[in-house]
Amino acid sequence: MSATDRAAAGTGRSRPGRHAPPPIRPAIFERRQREWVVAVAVLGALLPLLVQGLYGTGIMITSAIYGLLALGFYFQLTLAGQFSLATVGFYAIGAYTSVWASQHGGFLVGLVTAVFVTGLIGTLLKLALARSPLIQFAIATLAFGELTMIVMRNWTGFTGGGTGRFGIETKIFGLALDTPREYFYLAFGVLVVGIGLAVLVERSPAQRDLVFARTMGDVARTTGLPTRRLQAVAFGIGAGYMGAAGSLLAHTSAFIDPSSFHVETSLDVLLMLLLGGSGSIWGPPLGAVILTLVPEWLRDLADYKELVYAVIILLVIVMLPGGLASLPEKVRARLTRRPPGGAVKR
Amino acid sequence: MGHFVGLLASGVAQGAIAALIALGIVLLHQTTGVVNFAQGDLLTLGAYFGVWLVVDHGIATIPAYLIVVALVFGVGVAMERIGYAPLRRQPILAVVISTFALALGLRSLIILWQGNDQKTLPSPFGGRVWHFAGAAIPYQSVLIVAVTGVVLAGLMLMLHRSSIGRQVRALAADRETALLQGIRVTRLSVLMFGLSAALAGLGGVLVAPTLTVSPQLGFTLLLSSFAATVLGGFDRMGATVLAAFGIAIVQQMAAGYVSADYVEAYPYLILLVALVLRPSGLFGEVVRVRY
Repeated sequence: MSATDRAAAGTGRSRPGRHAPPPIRPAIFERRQREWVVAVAVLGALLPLLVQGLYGTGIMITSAIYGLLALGFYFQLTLAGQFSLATVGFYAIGAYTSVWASQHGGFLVGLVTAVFVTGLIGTLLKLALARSPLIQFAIATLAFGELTMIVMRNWTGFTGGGTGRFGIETKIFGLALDTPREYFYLAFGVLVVGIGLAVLVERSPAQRDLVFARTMGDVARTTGLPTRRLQAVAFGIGAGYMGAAGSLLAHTSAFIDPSSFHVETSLDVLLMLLLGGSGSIWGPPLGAVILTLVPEWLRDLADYKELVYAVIILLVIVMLPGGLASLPEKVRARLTRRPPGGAVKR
Repeated sequence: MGHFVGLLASGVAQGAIAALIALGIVLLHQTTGVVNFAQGDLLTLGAYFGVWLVVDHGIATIPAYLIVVALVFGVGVAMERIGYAPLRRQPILAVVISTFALALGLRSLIILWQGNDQKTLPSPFGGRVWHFAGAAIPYQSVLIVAVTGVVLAGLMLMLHRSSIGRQVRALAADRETALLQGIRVTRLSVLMFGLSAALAGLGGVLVAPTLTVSPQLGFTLLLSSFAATVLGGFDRMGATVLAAFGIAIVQQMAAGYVSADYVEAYPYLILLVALVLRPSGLFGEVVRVRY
């Protein structure tokens, strides 16, 4: 068995008789990405006119935060090529770091510090585990997430322990934000900036290199591409997005404690990415919005929520591997009788 | 001395449970390439089946344990049909994610069935303890270690001395060649799913009397077993069993002598450090490729 086979397979052993088809990127959003960002920004800015009240605004804030988390997961899975379960860890680190740093200069300082710290931890984690095969990496990140939560529960000086952190202020340039609508604009603004940055990455040569590194592994390294470094940075950026989400959670809810973060968060975010589609940056936010809304509509079925989630995951993997974002392309391909995605893009 | 022996005994008992789960993981991974993240919830299910049979229906211990193992075996087979069979041609990541979905589904079904409350499964020995070298060792721990030993020996005998064991080893070595030799690989994969689930179920019903049974029971145990699997390199049963005992004993010693605050953190730390230093496991040979 060659080294390439080993690297390609999950735990470092090849899986006989299995040939993964090259993942196909839905091309529908490829063009006019920047116009899409503007369109989303305008639509989102108009949303509060449509949705009034505490309840609706709360849901919108949650969607925006989960959108950032899912976008971070996209960076880690699709670009860095790593299936990670550390989402909840970065989320929590981001939140507590932001609370701590914002005491010394307002929300923006907190946000930037949170992004920087989580990004650094993410990069270091990926570098340290660079030699781990796929499954081992997933297990290690699961352990990392749990470890983070244990530390957060016990490190009372930094996190307030079980009592948590109260009265988190949200100040931008001395201006205090305190109404839900202002919180929404804040969270949504950060999300739009996040999407905008993701679009820039998507259109840069780095994206091509990363996809090359993920799909071809050792071949990419033989061409002189510093794959390890590239993937570590991409993973770190993803962690940074999650840190930003944590910062927003802390500053829009004014209170956090260890129970704000569950292991299930990592799985929810995975489901969002799967449902929305992992092949495009528009998939994760789409999945985040849908999966924040669905449980609200299915209130009567609250007991069955997890079960419904499990069924959705299974159905999506089997029937719609590209997620909802690939749906328009599939429909178009059906109508024009061309194969989806044209040439293999990704 | 009594303190030390007590810690050692509880370490060995925990190691035995971790070894049962880890063996199931290794067995399944070797034969099908799948790492089953639902293994922890299968253990929880085993514990709940135990409570259901022994407490609710008053069935005697030994038949109850056997029924539990058979039931969880069936659940494992069902999982293969639902979560693995439709995904045979998909990349490994899809299968891993589907085992997550199965874990989630299983846990929610357990909660729907038994509720979120904690339950207890009485030990067949009550609370009796064995006084040995100044330590009080619960008989349940002795039972755990004894049953694990018997099961391990049986498993090794099956793998190395029976026709089906030969087929399993052939399948683990090379699936396609095994298929060409006329081995019914699909049927064998189903069997392996069932067997690895049964091991987890047995672990669950054995460990339940020493802990409280809750829907989250399996998750923490799963992580320490993963640590053992990773240290064992995912492909050696003996190394994995050794690692399982080692981790559990180190954890108990550290909790007893260093600091109990972070007792739950030790397996994760061991796991992370091991993966950073030896990604192919402690005993595995590393394939180094330089460019």
